[in-house]
Amino acid sequence: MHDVAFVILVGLTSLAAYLLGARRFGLSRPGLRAATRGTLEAVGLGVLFLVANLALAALAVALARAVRGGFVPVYAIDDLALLAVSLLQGFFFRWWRDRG
Amino acid sequence: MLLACRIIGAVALSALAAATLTPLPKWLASHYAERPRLELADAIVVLGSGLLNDSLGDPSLQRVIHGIRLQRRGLAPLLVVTGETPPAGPSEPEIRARLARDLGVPPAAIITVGGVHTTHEEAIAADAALRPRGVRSVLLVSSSLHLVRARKVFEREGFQVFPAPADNSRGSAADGRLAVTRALARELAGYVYYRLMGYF
Repeated sequence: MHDVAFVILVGLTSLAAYLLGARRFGLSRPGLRAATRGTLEAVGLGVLFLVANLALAALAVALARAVRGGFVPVYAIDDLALLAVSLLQGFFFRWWRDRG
Repeated sequence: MLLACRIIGAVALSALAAATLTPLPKWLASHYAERPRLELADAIVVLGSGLLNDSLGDPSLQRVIHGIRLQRRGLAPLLVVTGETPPAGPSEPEIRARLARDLGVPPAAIITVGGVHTTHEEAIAADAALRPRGVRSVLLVSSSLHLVRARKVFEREGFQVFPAPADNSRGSAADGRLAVTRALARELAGYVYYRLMGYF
């Protein structure tokens, strides 16, 4: 039930945004396809940023352990905020590419 | 380059949909997780989970309560509590030992193993503490996903291990399934890392 409500909620706001864009602002269907492609590209870039961020963080933990000799928990990099920031980096980079 | 990003993005969004809107994460976790095997053993070893603001976090508390219940049921005479020791303040094993005493476990039956940060360190320290007492079989208490790795590490140290998972249900909502996906990914990464390091 919760899941159905979740999907309906997202579906309704997406539909409302589509109607608003198409009727009120006169946005085109080809533009919608391009936006879909752009979103997928931005998410893909976000995933690449996430992999790079995780790899760098893991390297930093390994270096800190080697240099300090003490324990540095690898769980320190297990943070959902890193996912959010990586996605933001992806969207930012994608927009930058668009604007040249 | 952008085509590759588009494909990665499509795969990522599909994976996110599967992780939040389908029962796939729970199905995968239930197949990966260690099943309980509660048998008479020489000791109960409750693995650490870290402190949260100088007190036991939910997983740590859940594990030690489960260990105390097993000890009170007479499944083993000894209760071993492991965990980290912060630079200041009481350690995780000390807090857990105090709780165990308060809940009726005889002080002589409680062994604390502090100053350990990883599962591998816990296994080595537990072996050092328990071998002189002739302990060779243990009921190992942790989360059901972590126990897959922990059991192998303790078996490597020569223990006969009976898994005793202490889990809470993370619910069936989207965020609960996402939490299961995250825990599973973390454990799989830990498993691969331990395998590469030759810990089992």
